[in-house]
Amino acid sequence: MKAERENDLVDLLDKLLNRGLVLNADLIISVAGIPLIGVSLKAAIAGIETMLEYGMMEAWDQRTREWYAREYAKKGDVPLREGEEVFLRSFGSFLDRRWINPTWRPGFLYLTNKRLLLLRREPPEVLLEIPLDKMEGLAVNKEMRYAREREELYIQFNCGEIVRIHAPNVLELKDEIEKLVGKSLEHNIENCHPPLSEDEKLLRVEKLWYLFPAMGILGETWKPGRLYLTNKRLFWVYRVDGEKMFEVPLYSISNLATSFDERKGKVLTITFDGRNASFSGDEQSVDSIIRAIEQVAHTACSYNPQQPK
Amino acid sequence: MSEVQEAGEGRYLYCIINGGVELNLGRIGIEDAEVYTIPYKDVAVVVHSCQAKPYVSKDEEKVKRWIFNHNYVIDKATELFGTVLPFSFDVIIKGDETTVKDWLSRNYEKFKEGLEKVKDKAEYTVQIFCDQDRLAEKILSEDEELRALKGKIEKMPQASTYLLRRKLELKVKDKISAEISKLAEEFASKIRELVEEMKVEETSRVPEKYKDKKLVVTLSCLVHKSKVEDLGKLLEEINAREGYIVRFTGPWAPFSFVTFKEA
Repeated sequence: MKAERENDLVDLLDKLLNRGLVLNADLIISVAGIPLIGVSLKAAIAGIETMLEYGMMEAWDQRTREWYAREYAKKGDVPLREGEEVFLRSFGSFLDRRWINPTWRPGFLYLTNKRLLLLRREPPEVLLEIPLDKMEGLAVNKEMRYAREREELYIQFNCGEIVRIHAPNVLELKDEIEKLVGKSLEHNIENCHPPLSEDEKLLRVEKLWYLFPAMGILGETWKPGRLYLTNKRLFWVYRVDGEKMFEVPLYSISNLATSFDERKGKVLTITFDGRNASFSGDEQSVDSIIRAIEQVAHTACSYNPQQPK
Repeated sequence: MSEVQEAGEGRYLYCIINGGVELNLGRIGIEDAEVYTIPYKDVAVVVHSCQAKPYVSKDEEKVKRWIFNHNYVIDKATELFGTVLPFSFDVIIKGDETTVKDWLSRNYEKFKEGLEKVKDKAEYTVQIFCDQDRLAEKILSEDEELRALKGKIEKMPQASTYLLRRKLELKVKDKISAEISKLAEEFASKIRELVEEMKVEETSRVPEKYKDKKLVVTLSCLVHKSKVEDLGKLLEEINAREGYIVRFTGPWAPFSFVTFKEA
C-alpha cells in the first residue's frame, strides 16, 4: 500500500490550522487570525456549519480563548467581565419555568471560568446565567423529548434551585464545569435541600412518592421525590426537576392515615383543609415521617386502614 | 485610524530549514508574494514580507488557495533542503529582517534540535475505518449463540419479535465494539514498531467518501524514509482484513511533531 497525497483539503486543514509551529511572544501577532479562519473554513469545508453552530461542542484551547477575549468580547457579543475567558461554547437550551407552560428556550451556551451563560443572539438577551461558585450539584439525566430519549444536565444552584439544560454533549459540559470548579459535583443534587426561611428548621426528609392529582387528561400518577418536614410546614419536591408540587402549613393538617398499596407499599394520607394528599414509600420512611409530624404538629393520627382511591 | 497604518511591517513564516543559505524562491507565496530565506548560522526561516496583520477572509475559495499555497511553499522547501519544521497557517512575526534574525538566534538551539529529530523522516497519517454492516454479518456468522437467537427470531411471527430483535442488535453492537477495540490496539502496537513516533489523534477530519464508515483510529506517524515501505505492507495487511479499510496519506511535513516554546 502506498501513501498518497490526494491533496485533500481535509488533511491540509487538519495539519495547517491545528498543528505546526506557532509563536507566542509579545512582538508577534501570529495567533490573532487563526481561530477565525480556522473555525469558519473548517465548517464550510466539511459542510458542518450547522454542526458547529448547533451540534458540536468546541473545546477552546488557550489560543482560541485569548483570541476570543480580545476580538469578540470587545464587540459586545458576549458580555465578558475582566479576567473572564470562554472555555466551551455550544448550542444549548434550558427549560424556562417563568411561564405558565414551561418552555425550552434555545441559544448559545458559553462556559467561562466564572459563569455558565445562555445567550440569545437576535435580539440579544442573557437567557440564563449561573455563576460557577453558586453551583451545588450536577446530574446527567435521561429525559424524553419528542418521543426520543436524550440527555439533559440538571444543575442545582443557589441552594436548591434546579435548571434543566440541553446541549449536544452534556457529559462534556459537565466535565468542563467540574474541571473549572475543581471538584466533582456529581450526585450532590441528592443532598442539597431547598431553601428554607430564616426561622425555619428542617426536621425530617424522606424519599417518598407523591400521588399527583389528576390533571386534564392525565389520571392520578405517583411521582418520585422527597417529603420535607420543617417546624412550619410540610412540602414535597419532585425529584426530577426539584419543583415543589405540594405544600401545606403544619396547622392545616387535620389527620394522618395509613393504608397499603400493592405496588407502592405503605401509603400515608394526609388530610388538610378538607382535602387529601397521599405519599408512599417503604414502611420505615413512612413511619418515621409520621412520628416526626406527630411530634411537631400534635396531630392525632388514626391508623384505620383505608383503601386507596 | 486604518488597520494597515496600525499594523506595520511583518514576515509571514512558512518553515525552518536545515541550511544557512540566503535564497530567493520566487513569487510562489500566498497572494504571489516573493518567498525567500533569512539565515542564521546553519539554519534559515522561509518567509515572505507582509503587513503585520493576519490573513483573514470570509471568501472560502480564497482561504483554500492560501492554505494550499502555504503547504506548497513547505513542499518546495522540503524538496530543496530535506525535512523542514513547518509553521501553522497565518503565523506572522511583527518586525523586519533584524527582528527575525534576532528571534532565530534566540531559538537557534531548539530549531537545530528539532531539525535533527525530523531528519530523513516524514509525517504520515493512518486512518483505519471499519464497515459496521460487514462486521455485523461476520460476527453473526461466527457466533453460535447469536446465530441461534437470530434463527429463533426468524421462526417467530414478525410482530412479537421487537424486543428480541433489539436484544440481538445490542449484542452484535457490543461484540463489534469489543472486536474493534481489540484490533485497534493490535494494529497500533504493530504500527508503533515501524515508526519513530506515533500520536493517536483525538479529533480528526474524515474525507467525504469515508463518511459512511466508522473511524476506528487516526494515527499521526513520524516515519524514517527507510521504513515507509514496510509500513505500507503492514497497512496492506490490515486493509485486506474483512470489514476494515485503511487510508494512508503522506508524506507531509512533520506538522504533528513540532513543538516550540519561545525562548
